[in-house]
Amino acid sequence: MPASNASSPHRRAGENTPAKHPGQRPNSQGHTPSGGGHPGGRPGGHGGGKPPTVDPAILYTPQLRTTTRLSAIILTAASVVTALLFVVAGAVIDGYLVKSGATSEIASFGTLSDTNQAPLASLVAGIGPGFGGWLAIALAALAASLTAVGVWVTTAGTAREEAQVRTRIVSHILDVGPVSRASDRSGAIVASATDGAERVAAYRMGFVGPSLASVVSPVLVVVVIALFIDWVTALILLVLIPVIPAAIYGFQKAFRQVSGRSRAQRQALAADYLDALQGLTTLRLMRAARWMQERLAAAGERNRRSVMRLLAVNQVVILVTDAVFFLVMVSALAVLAVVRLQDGIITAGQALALVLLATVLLEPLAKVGSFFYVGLGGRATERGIARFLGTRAPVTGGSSPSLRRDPRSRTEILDDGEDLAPKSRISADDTRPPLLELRNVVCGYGELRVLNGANLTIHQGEHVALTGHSGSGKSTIARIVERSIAPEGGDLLFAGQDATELTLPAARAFSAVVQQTTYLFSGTVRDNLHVAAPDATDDDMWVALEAAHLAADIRDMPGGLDAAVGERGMTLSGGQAQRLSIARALLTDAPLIVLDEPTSQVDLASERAIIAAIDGIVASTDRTVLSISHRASALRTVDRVLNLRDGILTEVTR
Amino acid sequence: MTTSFSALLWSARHVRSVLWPLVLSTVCRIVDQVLAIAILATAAAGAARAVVGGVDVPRLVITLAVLTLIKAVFRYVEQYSGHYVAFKALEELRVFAFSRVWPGAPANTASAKTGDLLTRMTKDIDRIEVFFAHTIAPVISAVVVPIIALTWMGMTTSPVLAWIAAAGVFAVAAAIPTVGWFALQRASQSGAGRRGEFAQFATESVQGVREIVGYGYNKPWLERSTQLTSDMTHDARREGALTAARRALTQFVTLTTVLLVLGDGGARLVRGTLSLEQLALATAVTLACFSAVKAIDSLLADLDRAGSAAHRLRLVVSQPPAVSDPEQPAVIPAGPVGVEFNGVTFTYPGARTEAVTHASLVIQAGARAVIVGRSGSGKTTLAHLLLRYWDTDAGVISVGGEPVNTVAQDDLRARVAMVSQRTHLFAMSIAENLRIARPDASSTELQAACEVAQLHDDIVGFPDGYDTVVGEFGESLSGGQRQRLALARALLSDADVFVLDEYTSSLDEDTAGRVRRALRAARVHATIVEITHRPQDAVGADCVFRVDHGSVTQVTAGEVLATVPE
Repeated sequence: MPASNASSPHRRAGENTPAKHPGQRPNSQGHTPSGGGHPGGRPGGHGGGKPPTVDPAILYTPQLRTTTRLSAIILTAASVVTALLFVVAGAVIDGYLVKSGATSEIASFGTLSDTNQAPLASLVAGIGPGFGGWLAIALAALAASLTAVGVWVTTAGTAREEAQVRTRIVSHILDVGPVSRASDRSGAIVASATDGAERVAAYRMGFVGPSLASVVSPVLVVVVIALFIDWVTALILLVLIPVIPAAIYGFQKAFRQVSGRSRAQRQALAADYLDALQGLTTLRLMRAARWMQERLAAAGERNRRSVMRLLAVNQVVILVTDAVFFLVMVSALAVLAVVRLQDGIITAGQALALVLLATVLLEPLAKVGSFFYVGLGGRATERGIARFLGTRAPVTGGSSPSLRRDPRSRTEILDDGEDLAPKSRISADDTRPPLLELRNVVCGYGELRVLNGANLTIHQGEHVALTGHSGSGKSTIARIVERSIAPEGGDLLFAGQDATELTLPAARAFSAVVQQTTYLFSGTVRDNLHVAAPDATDDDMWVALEAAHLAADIRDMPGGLDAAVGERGMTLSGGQAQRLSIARALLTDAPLIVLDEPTSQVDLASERAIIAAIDGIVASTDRTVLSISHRASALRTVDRVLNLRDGILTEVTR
Repeated sequence: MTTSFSALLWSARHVRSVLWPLVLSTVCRIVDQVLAIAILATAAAGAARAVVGGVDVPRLVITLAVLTLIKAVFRYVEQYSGHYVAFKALEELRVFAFSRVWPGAPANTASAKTGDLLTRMTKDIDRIEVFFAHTIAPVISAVVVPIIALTWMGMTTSPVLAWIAAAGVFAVAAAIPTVGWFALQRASQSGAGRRGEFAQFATESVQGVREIVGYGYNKPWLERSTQLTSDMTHDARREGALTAARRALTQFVTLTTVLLVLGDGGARLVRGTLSLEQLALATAVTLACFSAVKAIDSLLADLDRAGSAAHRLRLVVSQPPAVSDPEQPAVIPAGPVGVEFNGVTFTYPGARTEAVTHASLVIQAGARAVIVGRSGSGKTTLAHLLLRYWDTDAGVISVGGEPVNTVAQDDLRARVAMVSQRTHLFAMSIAENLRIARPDASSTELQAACEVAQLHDDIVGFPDGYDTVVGEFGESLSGGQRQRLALARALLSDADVFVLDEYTSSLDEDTAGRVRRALRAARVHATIVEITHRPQDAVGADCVFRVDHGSVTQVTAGEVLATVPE
């Protein structure tokens, strides 16, 4: 369909240009994104194209940097203390060597010569085995304590960041509000909030911090060597040290591709498993469970093979770094120790200390290997979550926290309090603006135009029915009124005020919508009613349940209001779930109640009873009701009937 | 502990194909670590030898280089085979778990929370995978490597030094991990439970977002989120404190053991019973030995987690299905078949009242029967029992004269197709969703089924036609389109009985009428059982049954219509 179909043949020439919707981006009118290729995609002009990339920092708490640095500093300190311990151990060996009955030539290898220019070497040189031993044990205790503190800081920080990521995701789900989940499937979002949060927190705290430490601590260990053993050796090592971060960098770079691909595939697979689990009944009835099992198995196998192929190549990095590290570090230290010892620059104890220090210098390598898994998921998962947090809500709210005028207050008070039939309340000289007004509303999904300049006016206290063929766009009107989608053009007015001026909570408090298929939360009947009115008392709930003709059913259930309704209301029948949803709507003080085919699952008797109850509510309170139904038969008690056809609304004369 | 262990053994039986790669990975790991110790020992001994005479430096470097290259190759093989085990075990466990969960459906889906099931199916399997890929080999090598290294060291230096080192290694590998063992186990168990709870909460946040924001329930909902996450944080911090204490003890014991070996060796050096080279070798081997056992406490924690994960998985997958196929299934006769209920009584597991009470009805082959009743009256339960979601408590249901519990479930469901109120649409294209009913259906057949269901025109109106992807729960289709897609799906099967549960409830009267006529024209001899709450649907039916509080009575269409309240 051409983009210009905003001017469809059903609209008169004068209405061609719909009024610009204040809350919308200028280019959103009549502009359809090429990507929104199916019905139920986001309304045109919204969410099209890629969301902007988001700084991963938004995932975490502001303390992240401090904690990461703190853990890096403490872990580095632990390495330095361990290095000092080996220096002391070397001095102790020298002490033994001097005391031993070996030839004086051998014993001389245990004495520090004058040619040694390490500034602090003489400080530990004379240390005897007795004092040296106690000093070394004290250093061991200090290194252990530092490690304990470092581990504690890291794990506590991980727990904190994990909680933060989870909270961010849940609150973003609510901020974005109802959108079509065709692209961001809920399995994937749930995986982000659970597995994903754990993975990125572990990555940030357990990988980034220690990585930092693994870059810094070798340098400091080399400084210890320069100060206590031999500065020439230290200088040569310093040249070799950059190999460590370079190798880590090479590692990360080499695995980015694998991690990205395998993460996407793993997550898609997790979503597919959720989908399959939720559709188990259908699969069984279609005799397709085994087929689905094979399909999932085949997808998993494909995924596995491609990851293994990539790993076969990428793991060569392990081979290379491993070889380079051991060869470079151990050989270099061994050769330097031998050469400097033979030259008489360092003592035998110092030579041994150098070799043992190889373990401290090699620790980063061991860590890089064991971090493989954390790093594998970490970055890629982080990008995925950041992208989700970067998605924008399909509707944006205004700044007014409430309507300018109470929609239910009247310019004139009806003094005849007993006569409350709906008709009598709409007096001819009522100067109030209509409660709800849609003007020239244009709305669609992708290329599909559903509303083509729809006009609708509902006055306070009315009960208006909206009919139309299946798929004609009736539910789209409900979605516009509940502000979960924004029309591409036209105006939405609540009590005469532009609805886009209102904040989203305020706009959504204006109406209570009973959906075509109700979502019931797992928990009790009471929990589900609390969603609509957290402060409702038991009495309020029973009144609402009574009005929705559900009270008797609930009384029959074990536990009454505390009866569990089960996941997606599985223990309630379709009709009961729907009536619970109606009770929920009645508990709010929304001026407008929208019933979107609520009775499609309810038998005729309870449907009539519910409609009668709603009429009673219309009469006894200030509620206004918009009933959406494809069945005109059920709607005999309404004030007006409107028909939606080809995207426009017309009044049905009866 | 024993339950965890037996659960792990049980899971091992389902990943047998990873056994040899696992052995390979373990052997390579042992060689790799022994070589690492040998390299350090060679370097230390080489340096010490310089004291007694000239050291051939090129030879030392070549020795180290050869050892290093061999080590690198073994490490590569260890890593690759380790990953092979990881991905293969993950894949096999997932397929296995799914294959064991679906035979319990539909009955098991009514009780288990699917969000929780997902955590179990993926998260727990991930944990068990960690056990196979990253726990077994390190634990074995942590035992084997020190034994090899210290035996060699004891033989080349002094047995006493080897025993000192062995005591330290034993403390790190076996004693320290018991510190706070029970507390850690409690924390990890409660952590797993809370993670499941949070997964369920996250699922509801996504799926129920329209209700949450529609009713402005954001704040209490976020408060619940905060509560759940702070409970998890509390557990994690407790675990963290214990881990920190263990790591500190490990490090202290490691360094102290090295110092003790050094001290005892030094005394022997003074006495002249040990050379400097031997002392260097003993110290280096002792230090290097600990790197093989260092990670043991986190490995044991993994082992424990894997054990409880395997235990939970075992519980889920070993639940016997509510119904099972008979050993020698009967076959429903070909051609049009009738349906009969005889004295059927059924109570849902855990329910107080009977859902169906002594229900009897006969529907002739090729008839159009209508079952009317209020919502919650038990009419959908009748359909579920006919499709054998559950077995009846009393009475017999038969199709074509064969009791349904004597027929294989797949055969029964091949002959009896059901369009349910809660048909699930998978997150796939429309064509793929239709092909679930018959994977080999041609596009002409898909189109024919959709034409009968009055859906074809809607589908060609979509930008991608039959390739349009329908979202999770088929959200992107209207309620009426969803119902018609479910019907089209049923029409692709060769069923002779169609159970249509409220299949036109979201359709307008025109469309519903067209669907009904087209269905009858397409399947002239099929038995059609319509379950509805609309009395007017009874018009033109061959037989009408009214369901009330689980009891079934046969009535006429006129009687039903007379009760329509005005």
